[in-house]
Amino acid sequence: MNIFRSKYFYKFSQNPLSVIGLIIVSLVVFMAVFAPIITPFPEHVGPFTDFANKSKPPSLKYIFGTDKIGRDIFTRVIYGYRISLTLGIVVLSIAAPIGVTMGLCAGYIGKKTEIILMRITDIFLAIPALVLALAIIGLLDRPNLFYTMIAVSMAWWPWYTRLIYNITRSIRAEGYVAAAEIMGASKLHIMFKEILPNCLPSLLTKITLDLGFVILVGSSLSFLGLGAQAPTPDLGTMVAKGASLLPDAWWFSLFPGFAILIVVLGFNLVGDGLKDMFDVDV
Amino acid sequence: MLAFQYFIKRIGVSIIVFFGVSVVIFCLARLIPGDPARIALGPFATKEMVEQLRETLHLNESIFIQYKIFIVNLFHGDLGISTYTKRPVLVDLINYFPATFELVLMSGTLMLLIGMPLGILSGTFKNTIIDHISRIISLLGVVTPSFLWAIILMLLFAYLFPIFPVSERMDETLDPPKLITGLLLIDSLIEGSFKVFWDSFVHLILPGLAIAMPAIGNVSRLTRTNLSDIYDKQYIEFARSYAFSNFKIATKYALKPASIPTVTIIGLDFAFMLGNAFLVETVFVWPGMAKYGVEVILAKDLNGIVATALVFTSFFLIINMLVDFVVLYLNPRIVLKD
Amino acid sequence: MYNKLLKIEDLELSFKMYEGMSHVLKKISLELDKGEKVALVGESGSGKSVTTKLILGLLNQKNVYKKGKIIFNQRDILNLSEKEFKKIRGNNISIIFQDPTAALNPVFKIKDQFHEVNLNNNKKISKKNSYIRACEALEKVSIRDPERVMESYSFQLSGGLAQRVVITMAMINKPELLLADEPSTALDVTIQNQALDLMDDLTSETNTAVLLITHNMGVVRKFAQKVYVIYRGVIVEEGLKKQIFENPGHPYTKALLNSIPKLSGEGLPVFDENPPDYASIPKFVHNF
Repeated sequence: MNIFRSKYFYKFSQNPLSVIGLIIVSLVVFMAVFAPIITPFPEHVGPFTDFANKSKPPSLKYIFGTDKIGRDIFTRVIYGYRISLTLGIVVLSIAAPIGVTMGLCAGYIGKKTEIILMRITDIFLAIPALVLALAIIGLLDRPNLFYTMIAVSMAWWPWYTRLIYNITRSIRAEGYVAAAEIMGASKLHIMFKEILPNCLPSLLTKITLDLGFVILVGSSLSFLGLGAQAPTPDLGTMVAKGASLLPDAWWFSLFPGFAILIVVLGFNLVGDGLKDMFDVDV
Repeated sequence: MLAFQYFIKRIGVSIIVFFGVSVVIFCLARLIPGDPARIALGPFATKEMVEQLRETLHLNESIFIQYKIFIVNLFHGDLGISTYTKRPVLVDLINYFPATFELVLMSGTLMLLIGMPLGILSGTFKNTIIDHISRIISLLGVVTPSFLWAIILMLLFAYLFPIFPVSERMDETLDPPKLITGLLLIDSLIEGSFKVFWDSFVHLILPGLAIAMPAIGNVSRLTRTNLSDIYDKQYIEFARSYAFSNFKIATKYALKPASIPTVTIIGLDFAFMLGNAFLVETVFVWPGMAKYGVEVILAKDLNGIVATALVFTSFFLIINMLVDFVVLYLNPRIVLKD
Repeated sequence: MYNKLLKIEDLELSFKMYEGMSHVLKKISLELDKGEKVALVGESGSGKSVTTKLILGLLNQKNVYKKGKIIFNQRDILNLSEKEFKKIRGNNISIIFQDPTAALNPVFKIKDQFHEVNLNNNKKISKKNSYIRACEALEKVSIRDPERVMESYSFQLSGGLAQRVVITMAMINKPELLLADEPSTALDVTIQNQALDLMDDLTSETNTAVLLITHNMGVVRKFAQKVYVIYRGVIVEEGLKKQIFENPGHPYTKALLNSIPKLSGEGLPVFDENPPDYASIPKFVHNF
């Protein structure tokens, strides 16, 4: 793995955009983790009101201004990153393993398993992701972050199935798979010890790119009111609250909005860098 | 395999997928926690009223029977009554769908009209300043959520530089055209009122662009990559060696094979745009299916939710089929290869 | 004496890579008479293919450095403008590639591609006349059903048929020089001969000179009149075919000849563990 780091990382660092992306992602993660320390008003995240300072435009004290009940938007945006990153990690921790396993099984075991699994996948892929997530959350009791995570995971796994299925099918014909079969390796061993490692470059790239896109979809859902509920600071919800006030309290929407843009941009740049580095197509 | 056989096969698959989707959505709708009848009637309804509504909605039957009733009704055009608008869902669909349809068509057109040329320029003039600028635009398109695009476009072009209108489909002072298709652009043309046509057109641009931006970014990047892959192919070297016109190469000879993988993604991008419509319609107060969909979800209107999901999915399936047929035209190998 | 059709003088070609300059051609010179069939033989990477690209003016990128002269019909075409090259390509100089199926665009019919080739010759030619002209040319090369071929796509044609189509396209405007870049390598051995025979017949008929690029000495023996042997961007031997084959002067030429598999089955060729630096051994020129 050490060789992996040095040779590949060199190629990665050749592309300035990828490095910028890495810096962005690192900064965002850093800020999210150390939010209580670096933000000026961490108490604004919980139930807090300060009507004297409500709806103030950006100033030295309140870098991004304050919202309708006087909370510092900058603090809330940084805390909002915590929600976004958590969403991304949780969703992919659910979607990726499920999708990958299904893809491996469908691609390698073949026959009836393949047909059934891929038909199910096709059906889920036929429903636009946001629509499916919307439908799922909408049908659950009351919207909250947890349900959002479930819904987005359910919309996301089929993409992993399809990716891994395609790779597995093309690898299946390769020599070393046949060799392992002859040596009597079990199906499980072949799938996870022979085929899966070869999917890693594509998988890593896709996961990186998806971290950004899951945050994008998640913030879209919260924009519609279906994400984390008040007073938890969620970037999408914050944009929504400010949308109806345009163009007046523009800082309500623009700062959280740009915060989303930046984190998605970061993951996208890193993902593109990985794509070039590994020379894959996801 | 003849082209005709391919058509039939494709349509058949889509129908199967449609039914599969209906099953999934149906099951999801029925598996939710909580009693839909209770939710619909509110906390003050009596137990008898709730029971009666449950009977009417067949909620006490087994899920198979419920599904059967659902499908049978579907074929009779009966999608149930919306517990939110209190009207037949079909009526709601007819009212709201054309607005979204028109909007998504505008987005699709913008995606192609802006995305493809951007990608062609990028791929043909690779690594020049034109390429860099268009790549930045594409990247911003892809990473910015549609609702943010909607807000930015609105702030820039409706408030800061008041070129475009802020919301709705039409100016309030004008009379809407006679309702024929529900598509303002077409209805106003049929009626001959050019002023209304232009007004609706102008109203479509900002929201259409907001929905399309991510797709524009995607199409542009993909076209660039595919085009530059094709430029490396030997038949392009052949074309250059025989002095085919450079313009013809970029716009036809290289573009046609490059379009094949791009067009497949365009189908997926339509799905993406359908999702984005939900966000943008909210910002621009557009009286469409997506806005209705959001309201219906928040109100837990079962019939409305199922109908909305089915409508969007069908739309998407049809687009995908059309995309496959276009690919067929572009790539004769699919049908002709023995 | 300037009746030479093509005269390459001290041609140098280098690419600027981020590791430094890569010198691909180091002052090569060669000559072709009208109607002469000349082979440029060498292994992969010797620089033989880029020579054809230079002749056609297809190497114009920023990192390309070229020096020397390529004189075609008494005119130095090394640094010609793109506009001027367009007049020459397909009209005065044509090229055939290694893989005929890859040279044809898979999503356009053969007739469309013929039309473009015809257009280069006569900008005003109509599609109909283009079609007729192409069919006539195809018939001349014993393709019995030219309409079927015209309506086909490249992947529907067999390798041999595709090569005949490509050769026809190359010759339809009666060029003075035909560049053949490994023209039979991608074909079955049985088809190879046919393709080479066809090339021979057509070019003899129109008195077209041929610069045949290859690594296959068997093809050279069958087809060429004069031979240039190239190794790593340097011409190491030149002479008439008979002279080269019977009396190879340069060690590299001898090594090449030794590597031709023999029907008599003398076993695998024995190679030097440490071959001499062929490039530093001076050029051997046969007198002819």
